[in-house]
Amino acid sequence: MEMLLLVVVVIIALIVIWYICTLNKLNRTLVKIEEADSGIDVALTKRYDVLVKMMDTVKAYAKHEKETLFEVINLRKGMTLDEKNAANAKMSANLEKINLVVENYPELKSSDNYKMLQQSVIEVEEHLQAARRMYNSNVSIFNQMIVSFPTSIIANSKKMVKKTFFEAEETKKKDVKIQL
Amino acid sequence: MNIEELEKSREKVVKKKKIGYGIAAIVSLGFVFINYMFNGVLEFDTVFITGFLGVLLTSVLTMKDYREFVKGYKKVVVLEIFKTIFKNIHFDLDRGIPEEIISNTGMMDTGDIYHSNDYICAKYKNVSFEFSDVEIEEEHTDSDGDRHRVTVFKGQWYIFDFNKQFKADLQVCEKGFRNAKLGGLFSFKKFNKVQLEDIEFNKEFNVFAQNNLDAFYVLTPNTMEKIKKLNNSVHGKLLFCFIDNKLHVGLHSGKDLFEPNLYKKINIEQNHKQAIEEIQMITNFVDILGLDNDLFRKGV
Repeated sequence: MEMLLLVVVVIIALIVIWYICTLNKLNRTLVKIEEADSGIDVALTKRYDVLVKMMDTVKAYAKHEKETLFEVINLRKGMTLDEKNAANAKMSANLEKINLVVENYPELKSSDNYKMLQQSVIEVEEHLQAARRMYNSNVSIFNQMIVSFPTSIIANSKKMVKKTFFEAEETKKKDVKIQL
Repeated sequence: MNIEELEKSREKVVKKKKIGYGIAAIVSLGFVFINYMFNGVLEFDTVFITGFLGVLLTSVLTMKDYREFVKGYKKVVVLEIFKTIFKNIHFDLDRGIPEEIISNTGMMDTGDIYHSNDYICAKYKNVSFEFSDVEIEEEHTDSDGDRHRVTVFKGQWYIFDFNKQFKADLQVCEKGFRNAKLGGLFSFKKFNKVQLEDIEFNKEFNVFAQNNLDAFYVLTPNTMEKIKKLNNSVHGKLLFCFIDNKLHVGLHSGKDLFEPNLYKKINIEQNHKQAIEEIQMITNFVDILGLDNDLFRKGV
């Protein structure tokens, strides 16, 4: 009888330890996702700042180009992933418009200031890609964990749901296709 | 020194070695003969001992000439090839990469015996690099109290100017390099193990970073593909450390580069070909990893 009781206690203790470890692992992954999410915020802000500088440079140079209407971008704290995706898409659209305008001004295109800004755009886009990849990598790990048995039991009890990926821009996807 | 003088220098060493080995053989057999004459016993144990001592003594006595030959070879054959491929060359056979530079990467312990030579500092495609042969050994004492040396690292250490700017250190080490101290528990720097999205890359390499975002920034999918390609093209274990905007590469190949074969006659075409093949180890890092691409060299 005592033996049976001991076995039951050991089994319960093992279940409790497993529960705590698994829950901690899930929570740690959630924290990593939040960190990666803030990495996306930082990268988006950097991209926005460079874009504003670029738009100011272009506007100052091409004052009579009234027809060029840039998309209004609002970056604020606590944006959802969809809002971030939308803001990012708007930034890309504005960048395309800038490139079109600049084509008409070879002096601007060849100026050191513009070249430096272009280099900065490449740099911040690379940072954004890194933040996106890190976020998606953590989301992938989390999503795999919460659908795998027996971790799914804890995830369901804590009402944890699958996280959404931060989508790559359509243009970037196209680039990849071309490379392949 | 020119080719003829180099060949003469080689022949001189070979001749001295042959004489040394010959004397060692005669002395060894002499011992056997004397032993047989006086004791009536044919004992060959002494042949091995005197033979070994003879080879050792010959190596010591010809060391100076051998070193002169090696130096001459590197100046006449290797340096000439360097001049055709690299710019701003500084070649110093006697010095190497200082121990503290490798120690500072935190990739491994620099052991009890540190030796580095054949230092090259140059530019390839406008990318500055340093290179040196490195050998690191540790002294161990076994349960019987016998001391023996264990090689921690033997191969080449390369330092390249890296074309991306990053804040934190990043370590990438091929799995199976048993002396790696990646993200060491007692390291003064705090490292996290990073899982990247490339499953194949994760299987081949361990990645540790002070800042996970830097790992994703430096190791783009393209860079990971290139590192895998490099890994397939080299013999030995690869270690990468991204530190202070420099890329350190350790190749644990178990051999030194640009060493001549003493018993092969100098054939300048053949020797140049061999040197070019070995130089490709350096140029491959720049070419395959695209280190000459300066798109990211200037940050925001």
